[in-house]
Amino acid sequence: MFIIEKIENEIKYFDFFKRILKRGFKRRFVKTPLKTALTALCPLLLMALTTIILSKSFEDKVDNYPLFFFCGEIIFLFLFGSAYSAMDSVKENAVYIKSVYLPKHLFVLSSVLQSAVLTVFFTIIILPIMLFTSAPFSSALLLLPLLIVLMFMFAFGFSLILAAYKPIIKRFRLIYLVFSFIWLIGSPVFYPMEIIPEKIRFIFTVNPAVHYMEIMRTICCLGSMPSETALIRASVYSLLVMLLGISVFKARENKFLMNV
Amino acid sequence: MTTAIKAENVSLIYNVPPKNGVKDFAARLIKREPLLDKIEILKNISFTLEKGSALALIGANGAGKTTLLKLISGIMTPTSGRIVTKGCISPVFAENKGFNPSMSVKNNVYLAGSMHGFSREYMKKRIRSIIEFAELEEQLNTSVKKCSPDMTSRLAFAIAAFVKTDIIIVDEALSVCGEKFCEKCVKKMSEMKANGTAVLFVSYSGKQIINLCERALWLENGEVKMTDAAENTCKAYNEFYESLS
Repeated sequence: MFIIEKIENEIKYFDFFKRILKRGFKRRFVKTPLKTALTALCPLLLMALTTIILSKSFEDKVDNYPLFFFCGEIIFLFLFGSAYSAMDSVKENAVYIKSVYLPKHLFVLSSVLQSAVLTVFFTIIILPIMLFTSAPFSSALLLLPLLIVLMFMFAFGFSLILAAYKPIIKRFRLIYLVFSFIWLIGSPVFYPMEIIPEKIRFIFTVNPAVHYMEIMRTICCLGSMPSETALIRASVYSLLVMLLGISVFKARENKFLMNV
Repeated sequence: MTTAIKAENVSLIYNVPPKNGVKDFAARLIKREPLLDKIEILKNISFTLEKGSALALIGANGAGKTTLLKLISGIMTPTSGRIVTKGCISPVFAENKGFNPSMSVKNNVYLAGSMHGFSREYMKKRIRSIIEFAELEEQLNTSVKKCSPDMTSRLAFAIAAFVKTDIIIVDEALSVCGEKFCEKCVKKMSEMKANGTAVLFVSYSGKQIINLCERALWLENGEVKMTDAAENTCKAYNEFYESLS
């Protein structure tokens, strides 16, 4: 009954959700074409630059460094970027949430969906990069949509937690940027996991980005199916963080309303 | 008669951090005192409102009227107690009408409709009535930021009055409107009452309250001071403040 009520509630506000999603897309992609073009080009330029600088250092461990780096880069950009843009989504729409009851998670969901669309675009760009770098094509590529869904679930839960705490903690954005820098270093975006000493490698497995990158690189760089263990780990992380995000957001909903 | 709103021992407490921030936090931690200050906004409010009836909320500034209305609308949740509402609620607040200032009046009607859970097609059928009631025919394609507070209040009330709603909440939104429009709104709310809508009304005009509402609830410092027939409550309220001055 409770679940049916929840679903009915979501359907009731579907029109409003479509409206804020459309407005978000217009603001992010249509009204600022230069920014959109730069957003699309930046990962490719970074890939080219990093390949020139770092590919020699890892040539014994990584065969296809441009593709290797691009896979890690788009995953990290999605996880970091979606939370960065979503954490203010509720505060930006304070005028609406203070006037009538609205499910506040819709604003966070809209923001994360916009980032997800960009990630889907980059995932499609992986195909010409695979062709250009002679990476093997296989049926494992059909698992990429599943990976995007898992990352979306994680990003949504993570964004809900940040959106719940952002209004009450001063300089939260700065704290998040510092955390993200450490997160970047702890994620195998630039480097393969093999260079980390085995004794401390287990610490890195706490980072969910490691598992998503492992799956993507197995699919794209190696052309083979990711292991069941990797898929299960990634799924568990995604589900846990999403559920945690929903419960934290719900618990703090009333408290942060005073600060928006 | 079915109950539209039932509030049982509703309380709202804000936990506020100490004024001097980290210094005070540390001092309280050492002295083993509570770290946060508790401010009781509402204390044990209980009342019921049946469908097809109207209740007025009266009280001085800062009594907690708007906060109580926000709890009833679902915008906030109480710290303790519970509020049970049946049906769709359309609130109209004086300070937050939920309009996008850069959008036109027409698009804001569609936006407000979607915020209440109604589709664009549903609002298309009603937009003419809404605009005519709000007397904003000439401002249809004007952006809301160019409209006066009186115009936005009229629009907000008109939207709430013309969508399918079971409970309408009007929080001093009519205070900036002219007398003629206020009378029109009171008449419209009486019609809605006759159709089974419950009305929760906040106003400083005793005349409007007595014309529209059967009962009134007097809030003082977050507590219910009196609940009785509208005329009696308004009389007691006026006598109380006259005796203070």
